[in-house]
Amino acid sequence: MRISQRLILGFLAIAMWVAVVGHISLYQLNQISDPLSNDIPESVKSINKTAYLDGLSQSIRYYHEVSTQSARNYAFTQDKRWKQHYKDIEPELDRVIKDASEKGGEKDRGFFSTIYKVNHTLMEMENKSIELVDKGQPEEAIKILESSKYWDQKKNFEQDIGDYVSRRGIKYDEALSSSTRAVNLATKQAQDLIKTSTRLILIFGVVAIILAIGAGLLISRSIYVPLFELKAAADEIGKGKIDTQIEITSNDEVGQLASSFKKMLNDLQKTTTSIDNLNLEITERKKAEESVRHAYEDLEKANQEMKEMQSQLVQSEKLSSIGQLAAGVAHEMNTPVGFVASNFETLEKYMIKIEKLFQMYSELIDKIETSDKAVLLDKVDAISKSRNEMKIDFILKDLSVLFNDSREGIDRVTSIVQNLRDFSRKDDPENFDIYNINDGIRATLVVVQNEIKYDADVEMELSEVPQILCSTGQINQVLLNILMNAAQAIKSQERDDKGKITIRTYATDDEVVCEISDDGPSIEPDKLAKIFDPFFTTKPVGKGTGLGLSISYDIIVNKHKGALLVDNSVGKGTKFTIKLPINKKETEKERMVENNENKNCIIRG
Amino acid sequence: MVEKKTVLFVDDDEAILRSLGRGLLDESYNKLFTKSCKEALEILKREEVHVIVTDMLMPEMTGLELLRIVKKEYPNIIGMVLTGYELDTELQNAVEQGEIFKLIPKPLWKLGGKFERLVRRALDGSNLQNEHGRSGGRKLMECKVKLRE
Repeated sequence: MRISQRLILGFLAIAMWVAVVGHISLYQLNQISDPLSNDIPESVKSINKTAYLDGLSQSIRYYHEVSTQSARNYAFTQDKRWKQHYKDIEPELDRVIKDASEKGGEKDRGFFSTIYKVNHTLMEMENKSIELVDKGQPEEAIKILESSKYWDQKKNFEQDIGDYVSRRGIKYDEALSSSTRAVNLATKQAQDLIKTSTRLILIFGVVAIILAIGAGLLISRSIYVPLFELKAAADEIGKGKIDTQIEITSNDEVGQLASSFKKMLNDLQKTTTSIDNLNLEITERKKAEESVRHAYEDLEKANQEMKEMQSQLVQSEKLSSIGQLAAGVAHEMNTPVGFVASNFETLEKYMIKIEKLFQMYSELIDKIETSDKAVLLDKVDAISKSRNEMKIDFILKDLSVLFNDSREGIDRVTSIVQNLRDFSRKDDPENFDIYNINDGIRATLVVVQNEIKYDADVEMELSEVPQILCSTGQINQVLLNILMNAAQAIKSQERDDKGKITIRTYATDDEVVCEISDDGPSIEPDKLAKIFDPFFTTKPVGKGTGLGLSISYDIIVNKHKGALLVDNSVGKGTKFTIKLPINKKETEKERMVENNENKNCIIRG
Repeated sequence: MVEKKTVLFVDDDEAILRSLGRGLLDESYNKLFTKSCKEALEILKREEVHVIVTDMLMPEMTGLELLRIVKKEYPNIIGMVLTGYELDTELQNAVEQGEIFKLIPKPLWKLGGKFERLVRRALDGSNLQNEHGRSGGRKLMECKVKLRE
């Protein structure tokens, strides 16, 4: 219940109480007023009535006396003033009698109507006498007035009135005494009632006060208890315990206040929560920044690792190329090693034969002095025969060829080994070597020869080019890659005639250019854009890493600041162009080194 | 008197041909050498050859291609291939189908005297083929089986 309602109800209860008490008091007062308002006025009224009728009776007596006397006097004196006097009094008398007959009780009315009739009779007679006087017959008039009829009537009238008046006097006294009694009784009753009422009012008043205090206490309690609770909650919240619960569910203003407070608290909690969230967010953002930094560091590390990995990848691509070459290179080396070894064995046989012949010659020399001519001739024949059988003449002639062949075979193996070693060595990207691209081409061809020679002829148009600073192994790797691709492209056509690979070098003012073109199948236009992409390959699985050209691009463009271009005219093969910048500052140094350079690249045609 | 047999050696590398010639210096049969397959086919037109020993990888054509041409025109000539790639399936198939008498693995010096013996056996097979004419093929096959064993 709302406080206002409660207050209204409390006051209403008190008011009702007061109303009941008042009503009871009024009832008591009413009890007092009954005799006062009924009995006393009644008696007063009867007194008044009695007195009034008494007065009227006196007046009737008086006016009667005056009017009869006036009429009499006029008859005797004929003085007009008496007539006038009579005429003035007569209606008054008539009026008073009428009045009395109206105001009086039942009995009085009967009495007065009789009086009225009598008076009327008298009036008629008197008026007749007056008329006679006026006619100048006063004697006649006196006769009437002195008549017994008139006097009887007059005596009756006076007698009746006198009786009435005396009777009225007794009635008046009676009324007065009864009135006094009534007043006395009423006064006593009133006093009793007042006493009772006073006591009642006192009791009711005390009860009303107790009630009021009780109601007040109850109402105030119902107000201040939740208010106190609210205050306690507010204090708690003030201390920072924002999760404080408020257990006020009443429906009144305090309840509303509490619910407003709760709402406010709720909002506060929300706000606090959002602030907490914000704090959390800030913390998380810091964490995120931290993790971003970590991620960045990881990324840097990853980048570093990737660089290392890339260099490993370059190396492995190179090794992969060498792997592909291995069989060819092995065959390439197997041949010279094979015939050199074979020649060596043959040389041993040759030596045995030559030693044998030498032995025979020695024996012949030993026998020249002791033996005769015939024996010696036989011996010479035997030697000659053996010499033919052992093909010593051929052997002697062949020895120089054998040595030449063997030397050339050993040179071939040496060259391959040397180039292979140059090719596969891990380059130091910081320190470039002095490089002549023509030498590089020749060296690469030695390594790749076996892959090309059965499918394509290599035509070389090499011009004099300046030396440049670059990584020998890396550039050779690029040359190898492009040459291998060209050879494989030609091979893939399975054509009857041999293909042609043309290698051309020349120099511009600031660049050394190497063009490698083949007459194999051209690259399809849609694949042309992808050929430098890592892992893009048109070769069957396992045949190519797809990294060759992407690594070549990286080597030429990124590491050597050059350019790697592909020119593709459909149906006419493919042309790769390598452009490497000439570092002019290094020219002097190059020249100095050039003179002392030992060229290892030995080419087999 | 038994007719002197002739063996033709084909290899694009002359140094190899010369070393073969040295190695087989004491063999009694005739030895012809050429570095060109085309020239080899020319020689076959002029000379009677019983056995051809050819290198596998050569610029003009492979040894197998050469032997297929030879087989078509001179079915009695026995072909042998010198190869570094013994496991080549095409060559193995060619051996199975009788197109090649024997694959000879390189390098030859590792074989010791085996190469010489192989050439001599091939020449013996050639004898059988010549003696028995068309039926010689079966004998040859038997001979091959023996050889493989």
